[in-house]
Amino acid sequence: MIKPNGNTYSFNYVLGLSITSLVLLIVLIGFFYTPYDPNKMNVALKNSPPSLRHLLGTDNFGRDILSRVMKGAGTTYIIAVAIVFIGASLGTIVGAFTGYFGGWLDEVIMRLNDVLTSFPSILLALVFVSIFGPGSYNIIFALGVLFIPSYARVVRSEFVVLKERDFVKNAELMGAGSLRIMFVHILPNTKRVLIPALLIGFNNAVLAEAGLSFLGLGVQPPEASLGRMLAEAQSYLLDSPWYAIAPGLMITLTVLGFSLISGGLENEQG
Amino acid sequence: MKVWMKYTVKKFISLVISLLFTSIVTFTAFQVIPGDGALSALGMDATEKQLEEYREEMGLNKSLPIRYINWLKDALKGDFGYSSQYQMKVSALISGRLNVTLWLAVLSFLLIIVVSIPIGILSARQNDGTLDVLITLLTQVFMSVPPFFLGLLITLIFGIILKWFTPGNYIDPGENFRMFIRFMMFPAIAVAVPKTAMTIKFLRSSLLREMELDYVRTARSKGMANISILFRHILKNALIPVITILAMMLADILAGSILVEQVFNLPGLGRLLVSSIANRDYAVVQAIVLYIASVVIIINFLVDLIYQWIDPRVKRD
Amino acid sequence: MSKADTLLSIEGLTIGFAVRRKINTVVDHISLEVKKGEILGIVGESGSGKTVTGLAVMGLLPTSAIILSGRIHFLGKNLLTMEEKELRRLRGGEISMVFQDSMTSFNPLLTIGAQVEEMIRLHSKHTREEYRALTLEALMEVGLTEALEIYNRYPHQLSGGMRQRAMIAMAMIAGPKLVIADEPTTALDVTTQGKILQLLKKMNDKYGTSMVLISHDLKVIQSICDRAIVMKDGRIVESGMAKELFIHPKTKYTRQLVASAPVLFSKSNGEVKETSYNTHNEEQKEILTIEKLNVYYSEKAVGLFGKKGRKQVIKDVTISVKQGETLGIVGESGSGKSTLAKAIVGLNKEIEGVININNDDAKSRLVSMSKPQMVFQDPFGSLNPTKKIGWILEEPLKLQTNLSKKERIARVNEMIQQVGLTSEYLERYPFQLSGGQRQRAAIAAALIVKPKLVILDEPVSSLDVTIQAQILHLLKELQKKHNLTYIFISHDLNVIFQMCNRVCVIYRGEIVEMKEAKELLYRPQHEYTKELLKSAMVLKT
Repeated sequence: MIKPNGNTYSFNYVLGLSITSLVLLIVLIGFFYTPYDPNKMNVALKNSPPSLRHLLGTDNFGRDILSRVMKGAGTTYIIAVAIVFIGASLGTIVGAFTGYFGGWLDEVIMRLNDVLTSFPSILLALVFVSIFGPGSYNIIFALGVLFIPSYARVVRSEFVVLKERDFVKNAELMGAGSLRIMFVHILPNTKRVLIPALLIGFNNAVLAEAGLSFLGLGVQPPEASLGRMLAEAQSYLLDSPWYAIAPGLMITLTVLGFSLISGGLENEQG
Repeated sequence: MKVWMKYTVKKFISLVISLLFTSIVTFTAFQVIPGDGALSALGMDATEKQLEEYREEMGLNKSLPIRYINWLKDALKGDFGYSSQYQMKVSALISGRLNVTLWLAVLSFLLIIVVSIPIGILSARQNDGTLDVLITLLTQVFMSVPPFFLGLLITLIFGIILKWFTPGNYIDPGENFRMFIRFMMFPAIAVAVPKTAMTIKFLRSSLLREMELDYVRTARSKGMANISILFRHILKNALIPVITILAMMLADILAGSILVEQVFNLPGLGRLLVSSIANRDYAVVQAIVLYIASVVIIINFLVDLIYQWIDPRVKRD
Repeated sequence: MSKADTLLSIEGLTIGFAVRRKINTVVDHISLEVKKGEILGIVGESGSGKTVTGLAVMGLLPTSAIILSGRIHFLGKNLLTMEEKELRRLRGGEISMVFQDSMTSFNPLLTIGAQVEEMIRLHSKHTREEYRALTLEALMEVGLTEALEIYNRYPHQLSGGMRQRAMIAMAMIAGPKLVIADEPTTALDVTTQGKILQLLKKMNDKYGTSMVLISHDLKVIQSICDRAIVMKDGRIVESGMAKELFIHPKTKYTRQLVASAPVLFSKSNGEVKETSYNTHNEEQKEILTIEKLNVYYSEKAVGLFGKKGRKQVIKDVTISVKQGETLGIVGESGSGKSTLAKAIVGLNKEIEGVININNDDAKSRLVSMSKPQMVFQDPFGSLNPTKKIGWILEEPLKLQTNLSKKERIARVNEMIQQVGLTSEYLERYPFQLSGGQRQRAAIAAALIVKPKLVILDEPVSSLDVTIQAQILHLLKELQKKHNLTYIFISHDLNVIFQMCNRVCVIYRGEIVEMKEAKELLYRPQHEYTKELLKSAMVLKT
């Protein structure tokens, strides 16, 4: 594949794009059409292996796994996007202000940030959920807030460097206000690190959602989500191993695709 | 006083302050949570008089700072109160579970280091050769597998199909230590694989970055062989950022690999935390959170010491 | 010239870099010889292929470089066909190299002593004590008299000059026959530059070591080289005896190079050319007055117990600038000259004293003279990399005037042409412009709001000599046209004398001397000024 400037994209980048397009296509179709009703039970068909009628087999309630993966991945994606949106937008604002103005508030917020990021994030999410209770909205909120520090840190460190650059000094000289300098002059210069951070953040959100749902704290039954399906599959690993494979692969491919793309973008910019 | 001693003492004092600060935050946080400590300890049908006596006995009607100091005194003696869920002392409960988590952490951390460092070096030396491309792709794949799915796959392949271990059948180390380690290898692999992949990726790019630097060219201009340049000049420089990642991973696995413990049915700290949260057993949650915070702080302290040992530039500030 | 005198000979060497399946030739059929005991200078601007030639001799070309043809013979043996093991013996042992940036060229984690010692460990067999003794001796020899202490220091603990001395010690310690020095003084202050060059010369005299001195700076080449070669675009354009070459240049390009350093050469020739000084009028009113200015820099508190420090960078500076003149401020890096510039335009907040900017005729809506504008050293840093040139030029108009969109665009178009670019450039991003074009755009951005006072902070230091001359010319032209007042900050005396009416010399935050430019050149009073002038004029004829 040839880029506008004549260089070729790396193999990994192209592979990432292909995997992601495939996965997104499956999810997109899932919003409008699934072969079966993902929540319709059929005891007669329970735990049947993959066949022409049920391409990925059925689960312990006789539900079609393909349909559930399509719907479940959609749910997982929507949750992940919402989490990243909350974390990245608030994190960018916090990072921009602390990085640009510095001072004691910056010190305090960054110390707090250090403390929060040094904790394993799933733990914090657990504590959060223990207070607010399980459910999709609660984990969007909990994980969204937990994602703020990492974006704040990325954006802040860019701002700390960029605000010393001469073009920012120049903008000050021209009489541009602080907000204009921060969001018109400096912010576009952070996209080099922000875009890969968004992709990686999406991956982390998918993994976190899956993890919490796996522990039974995320999406509640009967709604399907990839982590939830893996939790159910664990009990039937002996009888119907295909049950675990499908949602697990879906998560893996999603994460793989995005991280290959993000890796490609980073190499690109050197 | 020598520079390094000053640095160490300074770091140690800030370690102690951080620990104290964390203990205050943890203690206060759990005092703020709504709910009556006496009521949850004695149950709904306790009389007002019983509750009052309990509060008196436990010092619950004292002011917050005094309660904190009492709690800290007990905590320093190893007394973290009583678990409402298991009806036993929190310290005894945790030390049993900690054993499992520590073994899991040690095994998986060793795996990470032993596998990732040689492979990372190999990959960087072969930069863009076939082997390097393959390793890079594989690390990406392994980083993308969620550890609990990996755990399920390991259970399926090694437990159910190959029958190298019995899924869910945890063996106590006191009972049969060899069988315990043998069983623990599988969860350790599930914990280690994604983290190993991440370390390889990190080490590789760190090495490649260093190889481009001027001091490597200087070493070549002296007539040094590439392999000696790698070990004498590049590796130490390249490991500096990797140490940070490794430290974060160590903190992460010492905190208990909740998901992997769940998959393999291990009685570790992570699962204790999940069940304590579910049952609102706050004495246990508080103790575990304090443990994890201390682990994080102490590891950061050790990393600072390692840095000052390998990087002379650190002491400057 | 017998064959026996020849140490190194390069014949028809052509080197290319592979870029997207094409090959860009950077060194094009060059041939040269280095004789035993001589110092050969290679002068050229960046991109002329001089460094690549040096690296090719060492066998240190980056992997993307391909040697397309030619031979490099060292004492009769072809280095290009030599086995790796034999080459490694030569590298450091017979041919060694001194690099430009001594900070990055040393390993930050090893002591200076260990790194210098490593060189003899690789090339000779001794006991541990002997290695150490030899290293200490080598450090003493290059003027690092505190050798015992330096031995155990890390690179970041030494000054640039000391590191460069240590690098020379490292290059010399194994007794090589040839030393290739690639811009060995470029990263150093003027006063240190001279000392390092003298050290190289001393080594050459004492041990008869041949040297190849690569530099973009004529005065460096002139100072210690026997013969010199001028390179441009990968080719050798001229060569000859160093003393002759630049006084009677034969090719147009060499003349251009020489012309870009007029003060230096006109003085050496004994005739003072009246370099286009601005005629300046005593009666002009003052546009800027600074009285007893002190500028501080607060150091960030480190850690929990760090003390917040406050360092004084500028001490008691009093200056006045007259309308239409160019005031030069000259000093070495770290002297505080950039801090002074930032304080004048109001970018530095921690100041004491009075800064008065006279702007009584700020009436027109176009003339927003409240603040002087500034042109920075590195145009890549001063132009926002994510914006097009057109946007960058329009932004100050948006902020400071109430011109309509149409008027703004007309103004931007006019300005870009005044700095010698066309309207096409408005649609480009800074990275799509060359260094000189970027600096032109930066000048346009500073002048677009029609300021009266412009502060030029090392405006040509990051540019090649020929480009430097063009930009300086443009600045003079614009000054005449718009009756601008300049404060011109530079470390480079040549540039200062070309541009300025009056000059202040700044040393450790204080102004040690302030005079008419000609006065300063011929009758310097302060010791430091004398030292500075001496180091800039090494040419002796």
